[in-house]
Order: sequence, then structure tokens, then C-alpha cells
Amino acid sequence: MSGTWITTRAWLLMLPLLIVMVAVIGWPLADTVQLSFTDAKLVGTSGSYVGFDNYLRLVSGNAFGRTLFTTTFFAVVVVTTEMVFGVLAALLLNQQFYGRTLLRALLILPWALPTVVNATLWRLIYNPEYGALNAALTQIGILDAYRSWLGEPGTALTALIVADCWKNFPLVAMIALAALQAVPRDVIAASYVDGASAFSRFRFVTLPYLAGPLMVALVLRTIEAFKVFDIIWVMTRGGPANSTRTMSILVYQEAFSFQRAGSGASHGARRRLRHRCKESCRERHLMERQSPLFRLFLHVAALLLAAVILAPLVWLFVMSISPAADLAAKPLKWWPATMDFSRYTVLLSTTENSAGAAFIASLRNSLMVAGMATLAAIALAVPAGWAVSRTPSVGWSLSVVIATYMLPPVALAVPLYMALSNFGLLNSVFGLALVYLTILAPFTTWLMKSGFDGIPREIEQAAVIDGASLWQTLRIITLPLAMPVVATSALFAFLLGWDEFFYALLFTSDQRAKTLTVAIADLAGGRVSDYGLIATAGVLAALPPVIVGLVMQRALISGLTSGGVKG
Amino acid sequence: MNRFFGRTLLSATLLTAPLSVPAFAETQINALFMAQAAYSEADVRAMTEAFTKANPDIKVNLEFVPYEGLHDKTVLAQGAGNAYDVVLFDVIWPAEFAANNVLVDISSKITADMKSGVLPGAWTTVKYDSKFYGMPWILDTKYLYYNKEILSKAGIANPPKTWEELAADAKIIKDKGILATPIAWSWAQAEAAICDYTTLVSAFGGDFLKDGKPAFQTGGGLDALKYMVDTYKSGVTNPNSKEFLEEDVRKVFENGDAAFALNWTYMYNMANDPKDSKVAGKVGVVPAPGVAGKSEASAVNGSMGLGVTTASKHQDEAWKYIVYMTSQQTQNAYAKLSLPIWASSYADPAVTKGQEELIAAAKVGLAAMYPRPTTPKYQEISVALQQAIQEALLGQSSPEDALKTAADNSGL
Repeated sequence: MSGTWITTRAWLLMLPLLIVMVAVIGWPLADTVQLSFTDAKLVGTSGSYVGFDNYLRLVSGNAFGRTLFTTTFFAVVVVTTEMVFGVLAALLLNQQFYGRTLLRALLILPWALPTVVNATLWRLIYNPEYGALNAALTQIGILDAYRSWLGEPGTALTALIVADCWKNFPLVAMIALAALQAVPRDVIAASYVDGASAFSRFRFVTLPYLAGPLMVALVLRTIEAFKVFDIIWVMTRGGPANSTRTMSILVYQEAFSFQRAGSGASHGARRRLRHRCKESCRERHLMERQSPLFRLFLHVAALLLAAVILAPLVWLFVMSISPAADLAAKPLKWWPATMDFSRYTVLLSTTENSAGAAFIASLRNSLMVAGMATLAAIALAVPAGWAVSRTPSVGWSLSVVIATYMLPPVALAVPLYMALSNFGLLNSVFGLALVYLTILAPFTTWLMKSGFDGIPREIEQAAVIDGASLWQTLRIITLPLAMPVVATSALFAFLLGWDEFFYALLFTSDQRAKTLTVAIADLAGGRVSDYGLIATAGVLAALPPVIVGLVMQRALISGLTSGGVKG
Repeated sequence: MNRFFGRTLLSATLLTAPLSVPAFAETQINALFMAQAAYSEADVRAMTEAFTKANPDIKVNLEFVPYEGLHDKTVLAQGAGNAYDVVLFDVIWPAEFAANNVLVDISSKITADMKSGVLPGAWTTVKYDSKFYGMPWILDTKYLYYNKEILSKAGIANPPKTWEELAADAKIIKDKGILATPIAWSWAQAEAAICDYTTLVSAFGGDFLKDGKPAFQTGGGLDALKYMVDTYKSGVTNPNSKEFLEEDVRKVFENGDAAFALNWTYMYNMANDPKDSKVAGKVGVVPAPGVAGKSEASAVNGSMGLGVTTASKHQDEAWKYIVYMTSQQTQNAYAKLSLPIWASSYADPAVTKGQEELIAAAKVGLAAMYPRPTTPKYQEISVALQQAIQEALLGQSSPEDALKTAADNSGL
């Protein structure tokens, strides 16, 4: 096969992704630039919701330096913590222990909570008068008196960081876990034979396989951490005295150059290992023996992880069934005297025109929008990801596509609104799904690319030599091997779509298209809100992603088909 | 600005907008409302139905969005050319909407009856640069709530009439050991803090702006912040106020942990509901106090108005609808949810029945409503002031320095 044909083929495989991106994002972006010349005020005023005005003002104001520091500090600490905890959790979940399947399913829970619910949950936990954290710490005896966690400059940022990490470390863990599934067992077995220590086994065997996918997580989370808005808005609004005020800064270029360096390094290491493994595949079952002490350690660690994930969620559930007075009791009642399920009845009522009907409609809309966007994103990402993985020369186009994620939604909102309006796609689940597709597709493509990077080309070449067509090779050899990554990408895309709020708020107007996050904002909005009802909505909102996650469990761990290598 | 939520919304009828094609030549107008306003969605639909019954040639499409979407949707739709004809807007937006030509100046349509009949404070909701950009519709302000039981326990016969008295009464309650921190405010770095600050500025006779320049750093504006810092430092203010929003204030008050609290109208009925509140039946409400020699009472304007968009092709029909929605008859019929904008309604027994104490406070409070700075740069001033308040409370800078910095950063 000639080089030009391979490049052309790669472009053809990339084409669907590029067409969608240019049609939905590229054109409005050009329009925005033009519009900003003709009627800058209109665009500017539409930005007040996300606090974009604040960002612009900050850049010109004298608080710039301090805010930059706060943002950087927040992003670095959050991302580092999430990466470390995420990888540790993934390593743990890759081991054999009782309840592993359950714990893997639980892992999705924090991530499945819509951001607004997560922020409200933590705001209540940190409440200076009736919060669960104060109650727990005083009852244990660590604190003498209740403290103001979000009201003191010394603790507010840390409190925010904990809340954000709790929600987002599962993303890193899921991606790392999928990558770990792709590490051929032979390679690990080989390292046992070679007598490598646990650390060097991680450093030289596992980490190179993790590097690519983790870089996707790293870049995504870094961008999101720098763009962070919702959680801070709900919890502190930048207070006290601006100590938690952050801003969104475009740092993707640094992130990208870092990414290239990282993936370059991992390539070399992987090649060396593959060579070694061929000699010692027979020893693979060696690693399946665990010492009793190690097994004990695993189970303790698993319990700890489960506790970290579950404690806030259990509290969310308790709040959803507690009368409001119980939640304001001192000392705090950890379990209501009488369980009150009325909020569930309210939200799940199917009576026509009731709040329940509206909530259920929004659940259905969210499932449809996130589901359709996810399916389409995977359909675009598989060929495009494969093309970029096997033909690195077209990779720059993916970088450009991913860079669009840095664009604040507010920059695109006006032209997108007009375009959707022209095509009659406002207040439509299809229109919203199309917009979401442009958010989901870039990262799923990148994730798929890293996944394909981990699958040796030699396997595909062997199949081609055996006479298989490209399509057959992909279908029979590559895709089954990439299943864990496909499943993770799909889950990741689904949850990203599930949590989206800004576009949904602007582009929907009634039950025909309103999504869950907007419905929750309907419940939570303004000065008056029943926290118990938000908690109930949060519990219900977390259920569908968890079910999706459970269904995908098989796919997430099914990729262990190392027998396909002709060695 | 008040956004009622609770059982009202839950039982609300959430109909989708009617889609039927008109059978005969009729005008269709689109109206944008808020999902959790003082009037529930069901009530707005009922009012609208009564309007269309009286005007069969006009059809009204209703859309409800959360408060967060109200501003952006108005502006977006304006740009896309399929605008709403009638929009609900917050008291802090008219300046910006006027500057960007979003709302129609309807000054010429305001009749003499309207001018004299509607409370003067209510008009500040829709006025900018002495032009009218709509009709006030939802009236709201912050009142001083007090716990009757705690006051009588402390031997305080009457609720305070001035802010000085309030601080002194709180000191008595604190010294007698009844409550460690008797006053609850919403001083989080948020718009809520500006609403409390504005109340105090109006009491101390301060000005936000003079001739378009910041004036809050001296006189009444400075006194207001000094008062906040003094009560914070002397411990009569709950120190957690600096992270409270209105809902936190309500919780503390309903739990009996505050003797005094500044909050919107909505707290009255909620704090009197024995289901969620421990202080039901002990809730007292009076207008926010004044300052000796300067004011009798104080109040912030937290209202919302209805306006006609410049992009509307049916401005006359849109105005007709607004007139109906804001009419005394309509407002009196729904007075349990939101108090009318009409002065004479407050003497109508049908309106006052069952909420006499609140009505008495409202009579004074609503008439005293003081606007937050009316400028297209409102957001910048608000953010700068929020920061100044927090820095002064935390002792990071003196009230003088904090307000001076805010004035420098206000963009004016």
C-alpha cells in the first residue's frame, strides 16, 4: 500500500468527524467573529450567566494576579489529586477481591451526580450551622465547636477542592481501568518472571500503557479545572473575599505539547516490553497468586474506597427522605425518625401536567439526548481514532478539533441559537444532541486513539497478511480488543452529555426537550429551594448512568483476549 | 426578584405551550416568564386564560425558564429575530436593556391613573433615565423578621425602630445568654449581600451614585458598611452570615437560632408553617428599621417587571396583555402569592385578610423601596461591592479602604 493511499484513507475515516465539527462549530464560530464586529453588545450581554463578564473584567482589573494564582492552584491541586487517586483506585479495581464488580459500579456514582447537585450536596455538608461535617467531627471529638468551612479564606478553597475531586476522580479511574484492561497479561507475567518489584512493575510495565489514556484524562480535567465555574458558583460564588475566585484560561497548547512528549516516551518502553514478553507467556498464572497479607490489604483498601464514594451519597439519600426540621437539628440526626418518601412520589408522579410528569419527561429527554449524542460520537470516534492512531500525520486535525473544547459555550451560543432556530431545531432533543455531539466527539476520538495505540499493529498486519480486508480486520481483530476503551469512551461521553447545562438551558423551553439539569435548575433556582427535593432529584438523576454503567461492566472488562496475538 | 418555590410549584400545572394553528385571523404573542416566581406557573396560566377569554383575537404562548435563563434567553431571542413579545425582567436589568435597545420605552402609554395608583417604590423597578421600560409586576423587599418568643424572654417589648436599637436589643439577648449570635444576614459574596447593604444604605441616607460617579464610599454608604462590620465584630451578628444566602438565613431563623433576620417576603409564610419551622406562630415582621434623624424605615427594591421587546411585531397587543396582568383586579385576586403594586389594595380587606402583620410591614416597606445602582455597569459595581463587604467583614481592610477600592474598581 502506498503512503498517499494510507494518508487519503486516514482522511476519509476522519471525514465524518470533521464535517460534523465544521458544520456545527466552525460555521457558528466564524459567525461569532463577524457578529462581534457588527453587534458586539448583543454577544457580550448574553454572557452574564456563566460569569464570563467577570472573567473579562478580571483580565483588565488589578485582581488578575491573585485570581490567576487561585485558578492555577485550584487546577493543579485538583488535577494532581484526581490523577493520583484515580490511578490508585484503578489499580485496586484491577485486582481480584470480593465485591469488585459492585465497587466498579459504585465508582460511577459520584461522577453521575449532576454538578449542581454535587455542589449543593457539599455546600450542605459544609454548612456552618447544621452541616454533616461539623456534626461528624464534633461528635468524634476532633472539633470542639462548629466551624465555618466555606466562610473562612483559609479553608474555603480546600473545601471546594475536596468536593470537586470527589466528583471527578472516578473519571480518571474509569479511563485508567480501561487502559489497565488493555495491558497484556503476558507482559505482566513476564515482569514477575524477571523478578521485578511491585513499584518497577508499575513504573515500567503498567504506566506506559496508562500514559496515553491518562493524558486524555489529564488534559480534559485540566481544561475543565481551569474553566471551573458551576461548583464554585453554587458553593461560595468566589467568596469569602474572593479567596475562591478562579477564571478560565486557555492552556491547551501547553497541554498538547506535553501530551506529545508523554506519548513519545511511552512508545519506546512498550516496544522493549513486548519483546521480552514473548519468551514467558506460559508463566501468566504466576501473578494470580496473592499473599494473604496482600489480600487483606486489598480488601481494606476496597472498603476505604467504598466508604469515600458512598458516605456523601448516603447522606444525599438521607437528606432526600428526611423532614427539613431533622436536617437542622443539633446534634444532627443521622437518620430521620420517620422516613419521608413524599419527595419521590412528587418527582415520580405520572399525573398529567404535574411536577413529576415534568421531571420524568426531563429524564427521558436527557436519556435521549445523551444517548443519541453518545452513539453518534462513538460512530465518529472509532474510525477517526483508528485513523489518527495508525496514521499520525493526520493527528494535527484532531488537535484542532479538541481545541474547540476550550471555547467557552458563550462564544458559540448566539450563532448556534440562530442556526438551530433557522432549522427548526430549537427545543428539540435532536438539535441538542447535535450540539452535544460536537462536545463529546473530540474527546471520545482522542480516547479511542489512545486505546488503539495500545493495540499492537502487528496483530492487524497479521490479519491483513491472512487475507482479511480492512473492515474485517477492524471488526474481528481490533474492535474486540478495543472494547474496554469503547465502553469507557461511551460511558464518558454519556456522562458528559448527562451533566451539560448551559446549552440545554438556552436551547430548550418545555417538556419536549428540557433536560434533567435544566429541570433540576427549575427546582433549585432562585433564593428559595427545598434541599431535600434537590437531593431526591440527585438520587434519581444518578440512577440511569449507574444502570448504563452496570450494563457496560461486561464490556469494560471483556477486552482480555490476549490469545489473539500470534506469537 | 423573589422566587417562590415549594408546594406551589410542585402542584403547579406544567403544561406545554399550546401548538394549535389559529383557525381565524388572530394575533399570537410570545411571553417569557420565570419558572419559580412569586406567582406559580399555574397562576400565570390561569391569569393568561382569563385574558384571552376577554380578548379572543389575541393568543398568548407562554414559556417558563429558571431565573438563570431569563436574561440570556431574552437577549438571545432578540438577536435571533424570533423574539418574545413580552418578557419578565429583574429590577437590575432595565439600564442594560435600555442601553442595548432590548425593551421598548413605554413612557407615553403610562396613564395618569397608573402613575398615581402604583406605589412610588414599585416604579423604580422599571424606570431608567426617567423613562419607563415596562410595568412593575412582582413586588418584593427585605423585611426585618423577629422571634417574638426570644424578644419577650429578653424583656424587649417592641421590635426595634432603628438600626441602633436593633444592635442594642441584640446585645441584651446576647448578654442574657439567650442566643450567642442573635442577628442573621445573607452576607455571602453574592447579590444577596448587596440587597442587605442597599437596605442599610437607604436607612443611612446614602447614595450609590452621584452624577454617574460612585458615591457609596462616603456618607451613608460608608456608615452602612461600618454598621455591618461593627455588629459582626461585637458578635451580635451571626459570624456565619458571611457565607449565608437567603435560604441559610431562613433555616437559622426557622430553627430558633436567630432573634432577628433580614429576609424577603417569602419567609413570612414559610416560617409560620409548623411542618418545617420550629418558630411557627412566633414570627414577627416589621419594615427594616431606619436611622434616627435620617429615615423611619428602610427597604431594598427586589421586584420584577413586565416589558415589551423592541423586536416584537405586536407591541400593542403585548402592552394590552401587560396591562391586564398588572391590573389591580388581577393582582388582588392573587395577593396571597405576591403583594399588589397598587397602593389602594393595601386597604382592601380581601387582600389583607390573614396576613395583616405582613401587610402592615409592606405598607411602609414597599413605599420606602430603594433601588440598587441603576447603571448598565451594574454587574461590575455589584461584584466590586461584594468584595468590599467581605474584605471589611474579614478584617482584611477597613470599611473606608474597602469601599474606596470598590469605587475605583466599579468601572465608573
